[in-house]
Amino acid sequence: MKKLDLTHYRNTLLEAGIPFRKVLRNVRELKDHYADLVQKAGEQGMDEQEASSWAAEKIGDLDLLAREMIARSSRGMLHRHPMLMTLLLPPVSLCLFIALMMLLFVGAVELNNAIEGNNGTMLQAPLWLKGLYMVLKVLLFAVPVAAAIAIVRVCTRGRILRRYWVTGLFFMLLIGSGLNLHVSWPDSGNGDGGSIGLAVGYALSPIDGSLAPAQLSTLRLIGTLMLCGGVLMYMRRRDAPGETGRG
Amino acid sequence: MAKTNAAFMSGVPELLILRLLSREEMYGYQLVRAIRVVSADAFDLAEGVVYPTLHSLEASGCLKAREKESDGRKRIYYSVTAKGLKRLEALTGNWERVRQGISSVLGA
Repeated sequence: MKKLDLTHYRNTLLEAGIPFRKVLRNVRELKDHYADLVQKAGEQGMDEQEASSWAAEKIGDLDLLAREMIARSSRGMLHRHPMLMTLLLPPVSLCLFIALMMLLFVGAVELNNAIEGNNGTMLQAPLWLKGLYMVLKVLLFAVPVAAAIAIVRVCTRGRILRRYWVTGLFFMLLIGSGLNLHVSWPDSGNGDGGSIGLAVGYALSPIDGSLAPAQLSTLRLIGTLMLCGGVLMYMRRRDAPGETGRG
Repeated sequence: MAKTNAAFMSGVPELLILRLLSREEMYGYQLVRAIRVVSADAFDLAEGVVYPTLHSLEASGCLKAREKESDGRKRIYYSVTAKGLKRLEALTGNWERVRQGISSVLGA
């Protein structure tokens, strides 16, 4: 007896990058269509087996249908070029964030100078400026994690192949762990005017006057992502009850 | 000219679907059945043609879809948008030109 099995059809559409929501809707439509055909066949006197076989044949070749659906679907950049987008988005978003962060910090220093006035003495960094520095340092660590989570979230919603979002995650970690914000505060004692800098690289990096290996950043990022992994898995199950992972 | 005709012939399911949905909103199975009934069995569009066409028309903004309960089941109903009506008008015009052309040739 031939029955309608839409599992392969659904996976083919998902792997082609058609959004999850659209695929589910189409599968539901076909299931309803099949049920209507079976009901109609039953009303015409066919037994259950005959009706199921006839309805499945009437729906036709699901591979051909999938090909037609894919050919006529409009897919976003992320779905048409997932690997390119996975590799391009993280550095672009990070560059924009870092530029914004540096501007904010330099602006804050200038504002402080304007408030204090330049009376010929070396300025001391006020508490609020040090606080801002700490916030930016935390953000520099948090942004790669947030961006990586966003990549996973978007990719799993779209059910893109696992290799894409795994690549995106590691790429994000690689970039994020190589960044270190470094500020030297103005010091009237030794005549140091202070500076701000961004260390990029994977050698030992100066952080707050001490040397800390970049690998530590990697571990912190991985640790955070592992914690977030559980939340993502929970969200994925909640969004698609009964759906199994794949890729 | 041949190119125009080829493109038009590939748009026949689109024309039929837009025409029927401009009268009333329907779901997939209902539409397939309506095409067969209205065309007096001249057209029996396969599901492999109807669903891709529906989704493509929806993506291009010619159709809109909404969920509605019918016979105890939630169905996806499609209806024509203003853009869809313009597309229908254009396709109908094409079809009239082809029909007249064929009639002229056959009557010659």
